[in-house]
Amino acid sequence: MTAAAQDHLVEAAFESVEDVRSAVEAALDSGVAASQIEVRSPAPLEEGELPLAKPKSRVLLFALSGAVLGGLTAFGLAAGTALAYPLPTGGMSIVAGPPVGVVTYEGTALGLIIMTVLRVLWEGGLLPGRAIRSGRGRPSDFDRHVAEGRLVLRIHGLTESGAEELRELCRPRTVALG
Amino acid sequence: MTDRPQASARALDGELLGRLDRRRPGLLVGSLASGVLVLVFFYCWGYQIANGIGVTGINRPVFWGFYIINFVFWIGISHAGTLISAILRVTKAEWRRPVTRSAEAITLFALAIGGLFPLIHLGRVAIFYYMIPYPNSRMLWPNFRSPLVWDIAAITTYIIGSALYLFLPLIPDAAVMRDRAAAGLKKRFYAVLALGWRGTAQQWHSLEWGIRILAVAIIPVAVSVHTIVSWDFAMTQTPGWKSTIFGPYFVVGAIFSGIAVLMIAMALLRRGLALERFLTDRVFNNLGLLFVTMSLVWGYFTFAEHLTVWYSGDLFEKLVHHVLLHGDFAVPFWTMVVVNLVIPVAVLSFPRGRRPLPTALVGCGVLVGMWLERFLIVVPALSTPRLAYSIGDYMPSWVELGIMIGAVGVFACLYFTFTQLLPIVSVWEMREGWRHAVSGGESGQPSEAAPTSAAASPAAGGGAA
Repeated sequence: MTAAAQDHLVEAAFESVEDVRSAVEAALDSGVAASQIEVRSPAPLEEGELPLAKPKSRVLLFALSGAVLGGLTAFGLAAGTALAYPLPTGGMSIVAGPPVGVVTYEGTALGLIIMTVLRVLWEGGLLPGRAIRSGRGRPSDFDRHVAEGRLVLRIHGLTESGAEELRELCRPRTVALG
Repeated sequence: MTDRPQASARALDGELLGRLDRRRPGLLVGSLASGVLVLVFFYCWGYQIANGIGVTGINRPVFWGFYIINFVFWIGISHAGTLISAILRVTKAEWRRPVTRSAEAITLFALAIGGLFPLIHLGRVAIFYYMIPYPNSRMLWPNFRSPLVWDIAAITTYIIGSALYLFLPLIPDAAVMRDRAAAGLKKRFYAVLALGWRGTAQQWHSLEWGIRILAVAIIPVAVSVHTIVSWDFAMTQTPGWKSTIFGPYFVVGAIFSGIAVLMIAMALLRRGLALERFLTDRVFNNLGLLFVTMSLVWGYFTFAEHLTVWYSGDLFEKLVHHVLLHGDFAVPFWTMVVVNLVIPVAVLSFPRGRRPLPTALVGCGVLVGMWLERFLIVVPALSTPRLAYSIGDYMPSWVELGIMIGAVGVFACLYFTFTQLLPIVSVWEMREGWRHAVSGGESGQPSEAAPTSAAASPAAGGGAA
């Protein structure tokens, strides 16, 4: 069988999470792999609402890395520039702790914030130019349903007969099918 | 799950989208009217740039006048959003949902305006770049030991953080607007903002992590910003400024004035956009309770600040204290006490006082009071210095007044424009709240304002499939 023959897509819009859950369970029972299933929702779903693995995220790790990087940069800037052009002021130390601390604190926060946002955009495939893997995240005519508050189930990588079978499974609960 | 709550949530969803789609001439008129003040702002600033800082009333010994007062005032207002929104997110307060977007927008716009005032105060705006740390030809770097340079670091961090904290939760709503807009410029605009958002599980998961981390990170940043602004004063030897409690005192005042703006903005939005079913009485009641609490905390700090000065017996400190309480500045001082403490406590202590109109009116008074507080920190202290021969008065010029009033117009124009272009109530957060309420997780909006299931027609739900 050619790749094109296995590239059929089923899209269905549902009103409630329960309906999507039933459709996903039916799809999994019929032999569809979890990796072929994508659910688009108008709001985040709670963990365990759907019988699918929870996505992974490394936002926290990157946020902490950004904090360290930002803190070190700010420390280097505040302490290094004081040493690069020493300005003796009334017997005070050239690299004074509190001012360096304040600047380091702000740099730490800035690094954390920027890296957090960059990682969120990266993981969500939202950075310009980033290839969206395996058809996920591509625009769909069904996106309008998500905008209207419905949930959209997308199952891809199906054979023609498999796609038709899944459409029949979804049909009783769906408000739109494609 | 029953059909009725589900239908109620769908109906509310459709109603919210309908409200956001509707053209609102009132907002357009507001934008245009505030646009006139924007022109006043830029005319006055341009006049000052062309003629020099001598056109202001700033002179020896009052070197900090309206510009620094307004700088502190607007930075304080900026605490409306990010801090309040972040605290409510971190504490998972369900009633925050209709409030957060508006609060975050207020933060960003107030911060942008507040950040302009030191540049205006510079006179020669172009020399701002002296403060930017870069290796110039003479290896002269900004002096990081100066609290003014800490200001640059803190405000830069806060403005970037606030912009991203507003933008990140806006992405899903931009996608909603994109997918609902007809093809054309509008759709392209929202498509750029949405960055290709589709609402996949990975996107939601990463976004939730991001918002959670930003909410936690932005709180200490907001506190640090106003603390550092207070240190611009407290690190000097000027009588009336050298105070160890200035940091927390400024932060409390900032949150207090921030809530005041939020109350006014929410009352205007509720009436102007007919959002009564989303900005419910419960939201105003809860914000009103927070408001009166901050009023009492502010009163406590003000009392503590003045008690220690009075008790110290320090001649120069008492001189400033005297002109505040009994001298030339007694009228603004006692006005400040009345509008910041007496009226809020008298009105907001009762449930009837925590309705939209009373809270907005109290908010207006508090804004005046908090501006007076900043005025009373800056001017009496500088006009009563240690050296008797340099005692002097300060009278703002029309340029300073024009810039101050114009700044209000800039803020209003930005806010009205934002409200016209983007959902001022976070659609996805409201949906999440309704889902929680429908699934019985927490008490949310539908339980308060649930329409009958008969009203939940497909049209009310946002269109047929």
